[in-house]
Amino acid sequence: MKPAPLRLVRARTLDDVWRAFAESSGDAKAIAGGQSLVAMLNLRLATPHTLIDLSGVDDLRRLSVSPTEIRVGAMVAQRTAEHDPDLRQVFPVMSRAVSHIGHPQIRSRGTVGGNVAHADPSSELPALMVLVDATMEVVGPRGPRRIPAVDFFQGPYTTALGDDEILANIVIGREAIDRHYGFHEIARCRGAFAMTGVIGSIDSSPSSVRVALFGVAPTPVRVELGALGLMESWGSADFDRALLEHYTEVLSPNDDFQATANQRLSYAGVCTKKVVHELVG
Amino acid sequence: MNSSADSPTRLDVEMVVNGEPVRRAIEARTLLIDFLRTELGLTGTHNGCSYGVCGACTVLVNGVAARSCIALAAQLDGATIETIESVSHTERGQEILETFSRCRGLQCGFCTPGVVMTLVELDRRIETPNRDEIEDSIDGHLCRCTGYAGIKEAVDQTLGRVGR
Repeated sequence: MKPAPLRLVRARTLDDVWRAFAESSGDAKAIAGGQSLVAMLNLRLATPHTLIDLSGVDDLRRLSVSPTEIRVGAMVAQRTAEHDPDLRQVFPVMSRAVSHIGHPQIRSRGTVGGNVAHADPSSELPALMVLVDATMEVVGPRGPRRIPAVDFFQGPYTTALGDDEILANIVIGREAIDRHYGFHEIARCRGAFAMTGVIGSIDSSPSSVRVALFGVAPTPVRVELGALGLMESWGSADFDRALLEHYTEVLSPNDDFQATANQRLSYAGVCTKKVVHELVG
Repeated sequence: MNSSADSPTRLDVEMVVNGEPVRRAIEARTLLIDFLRTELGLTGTHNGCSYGVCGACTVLVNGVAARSCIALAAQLDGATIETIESVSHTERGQEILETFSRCRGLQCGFCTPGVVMTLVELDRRIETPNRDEIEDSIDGHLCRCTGYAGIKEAVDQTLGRVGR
């Protein structure tokens, strides 16, 4: 298998990117590490006329980590995010979530921004972005925009990015950095797409617990377990009942070859309990 | 001065492949695996699934294991590539290949070039990779013959996890 014939523009600067979009008659796609896109090209699920290669744009490759703000350039390799000592110390949940993307041989080329902009409903990072209220810094020929994660993900493989815009940075603020996190996902085997997963966070009291779920709806779903009062019954059978009731209402899992919708609903409960246990014991 | 073939459909790429500088004008859609196998005749790297799952096509790109079936060659201008053909050129590489043979880490051999390249990367690390990293890496390879026991044994022996 190989991609259909295409044009590839190797951009060095953002101006190169805008020029390529402008010259492409509307059928151009930005390519980052290509770990999803090239597979789709090989399968001819995607047949863009033009690809704009972002790997030479150094401005997109910066990673800065401080206790008050984390900025991850879209072209930062997943393996870099996974192993960066500062990121692991300041915001370890990010490294942990990234470590579940494919295998090391995928994460070497795969990028943080590519994963997020691909917006796979079963992917970990979009859920983390929604959980932590990350800001998506988007750039395009008409200038920059800042989009809250919750508005960025609009459907399966669909984001708020315009046809000639790209994701430039992901920004995570202090409130998110200061929280504690838990993570659990269920996949057929390590490195496989998650059937269901949950990332959760807490600041000090159980009433602050919130989770974001992936693999159970077209986009990540954030649930305020604390604010909804669900945490009050944590540890009793009432919690399970109330959680299932709420999840039945807010989640919309699909049947597919990996799991039925009902299985996914059940997995959502299992993952949530594991995560809450990690957060509050 | 060479005349450049560079256009968005046909691009010049330069790489260092197994220590040799190469330069070709290629179609924009050329995958790294097809560049290696067809342009350079390096057929040791195998194309299994073509979408990044099976790991047979794994090579080292700038020293790091990556799938050559889901990498566009034109995105890798200036990169250093190492394939299975380079492994036997070093003493350490010979040891790795002999360990695979001794441990029966292969049967039909289709997946082996990829597994070996992943192991070459792990083996070069200054810090010994932990069990989790080793398993995560080897999990990135599908083998339909051996049942993995021999592969894992070869990996463990190479990385000094168990006595020889």
